[in-house]
Amino acid sequence: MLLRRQRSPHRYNQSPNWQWIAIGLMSVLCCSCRSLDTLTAWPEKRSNTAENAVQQPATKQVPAVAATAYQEPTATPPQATAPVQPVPTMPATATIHGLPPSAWSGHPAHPTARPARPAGSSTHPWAPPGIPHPWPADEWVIDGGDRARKVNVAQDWSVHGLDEEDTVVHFDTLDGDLIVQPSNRVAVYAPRFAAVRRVDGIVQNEYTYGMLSNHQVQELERQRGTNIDLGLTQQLQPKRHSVLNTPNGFREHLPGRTVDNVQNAAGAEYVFESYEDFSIMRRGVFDNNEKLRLNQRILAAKSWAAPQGVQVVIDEKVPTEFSNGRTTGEHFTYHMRTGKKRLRVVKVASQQQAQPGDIIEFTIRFDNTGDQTIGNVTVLDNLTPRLEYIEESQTCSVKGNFLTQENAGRSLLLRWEITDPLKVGEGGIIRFKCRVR
Amino acid sequence: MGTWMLKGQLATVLVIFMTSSLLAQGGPRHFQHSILDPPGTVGRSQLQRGGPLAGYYQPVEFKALDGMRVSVAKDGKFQPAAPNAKAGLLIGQVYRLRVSNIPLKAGFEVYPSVEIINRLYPPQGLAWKFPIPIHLTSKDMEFALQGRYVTRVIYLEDPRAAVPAQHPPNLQPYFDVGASEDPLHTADQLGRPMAILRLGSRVPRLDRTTGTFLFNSPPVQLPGTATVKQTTFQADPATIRNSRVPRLYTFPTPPLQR
Repeated sequence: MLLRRQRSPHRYNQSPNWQWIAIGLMSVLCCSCRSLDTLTAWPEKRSNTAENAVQQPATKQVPAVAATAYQEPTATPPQATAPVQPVPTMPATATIHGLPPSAWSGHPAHPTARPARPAGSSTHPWAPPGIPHPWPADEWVIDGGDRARKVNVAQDWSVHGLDEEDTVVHFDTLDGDLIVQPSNRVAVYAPRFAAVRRVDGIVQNEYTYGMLSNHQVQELERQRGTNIDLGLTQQLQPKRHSVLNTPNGFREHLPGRTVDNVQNAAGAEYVFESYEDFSIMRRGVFDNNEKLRLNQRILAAKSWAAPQGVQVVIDEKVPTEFSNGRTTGEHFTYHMRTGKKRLRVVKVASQQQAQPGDIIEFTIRFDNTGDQTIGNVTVLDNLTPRLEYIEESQTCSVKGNFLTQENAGRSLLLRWEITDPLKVGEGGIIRFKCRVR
Repeated sequence: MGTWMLKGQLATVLVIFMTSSLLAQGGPRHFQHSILDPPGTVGRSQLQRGGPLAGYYQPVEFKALDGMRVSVAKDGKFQPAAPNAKAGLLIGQVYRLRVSNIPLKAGFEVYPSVEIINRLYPPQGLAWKFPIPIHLTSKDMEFALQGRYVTRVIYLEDPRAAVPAQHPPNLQPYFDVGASEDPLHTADQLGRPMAILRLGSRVPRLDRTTGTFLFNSPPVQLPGTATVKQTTFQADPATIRNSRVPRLYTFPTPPLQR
């Protein structure tokens, strides 16, 4: 009845066309969803429209380790090269003017919000647009960062939410806070294969039909095909036991009288390998000239997942860009408030690709880049099932305890408990080796 | 007016709820393909999905274990047999192999077929360092010579759900499934299926006219050859003008001898 009344032309002319209102609302909803998706999926498109916009403060969900690993904001103190400018505020979906397109712009991180690498500038041949590297993830062994659940540490130092691949450092501050700091992610190309086998017999493809009735009975004319074993081999115990005779005599073997006094190096401690020979590893000071090589070692900033992407916002502070037309570089100056406590964690691997059985050496560098002493520094590395820790291969440059515990992936959870507090500017280096399964 | 507006709002909310519930519905997975599909079906349907699959030569390493030897068919004939063979194979094509020197089966040969259904995306320069390994075991050959039909689906393990064990270099872990299970579906649940190896005991008929046994010898890229040779036809103006010679004889033979 209702349908008939709606389809009546008389009613149709008098009604306010609520069907069109519903269609319009749905269209508005669809268009709004698409526009929102477009804004979040292509941040480089938003940068054009964000020049006149204002910026909002950063949120604390964004880990600052990635920014400290690459931009080195705290290691280069403000040298008054740029005047202090008031920080504008910007809507969450807009990009900060002057920053790289991959820079964090204040909006919540989206899994598909990473721009694809331009062709020819990457070591990866191809990836779907909008999908972050490393892609596809099932060909890479990833270690580091805070992957799925956010790691929380209770006041009794019990750790919750530590997933496989996670590498975090938690420490106590003089204020009584307990801060969790994840490291960057390290990806190693190491695909591994297996197989599923099915063996089909001929019988499996035959159909057996039951007989409805049997009209003819045939007797066997002869018996064939029944063979009986003619012999039987019995398991006999040995009757005699041969005794291995020991040698009756001993012939002395005299070595040569000439002995060369060759002294080989028994070992070397705290010698930086080629893959970790960076200024940020040696002295804890980031050198911009080493950025390219460092990016190769940790697979570039763009290869990280979105939550650990390159950040240029430190503690809700947006850097003030200083551009000089006579120089080729970019200079970012950070003006930080005093009394901050922060720890920088950088992780690198000795290889970028590995076959099963290869040994990879990981190096974790942590530095107290804040301006107050921190204590109870604990480094946690939850290895993936594809990584097997090599016993007694770890070294730590500072005094501490090393503990291991089997995790859910049948690998190990590595734990370093640094004994002494870290003063401002102090840090340490942890090295360990893993075998790729 | 208010009643119509209320009805419109209710209709909008109803539509939103219905569509959201439809999107949220899950259910059992329906696989498009089966291992019983003819060789080449799965790979060709992968090509229809788009992406950088068509024309890519996926490096594959055949490892003939237990002293066996394997050779890959190329240009209508088999290459020299070797314990290991590397070849770049096209996705969606089916290739014929020949396995010989089978232990305790002197004089017997098995002719498996390989279908590549997906590819790897390694960093540049590492494609041949990380091929898809396909192991040919003597046990599988024995099954084939007994008249059984062996199907192996080689898949890429998910590193987060991988078996936490170290395997020897010449042992590729595999799982046996029953006759009622589909190895393609099982491999899809465990990882990403990459290749299908099929082997039986059918005696080949080298039909040179149709080439069905060798699946018309799809192009193969051997290590060291960056690209497949492409023959460029250089037309001779005189040949084109002279219609006394059919053009069929001018290609791919050299230009007409005048």
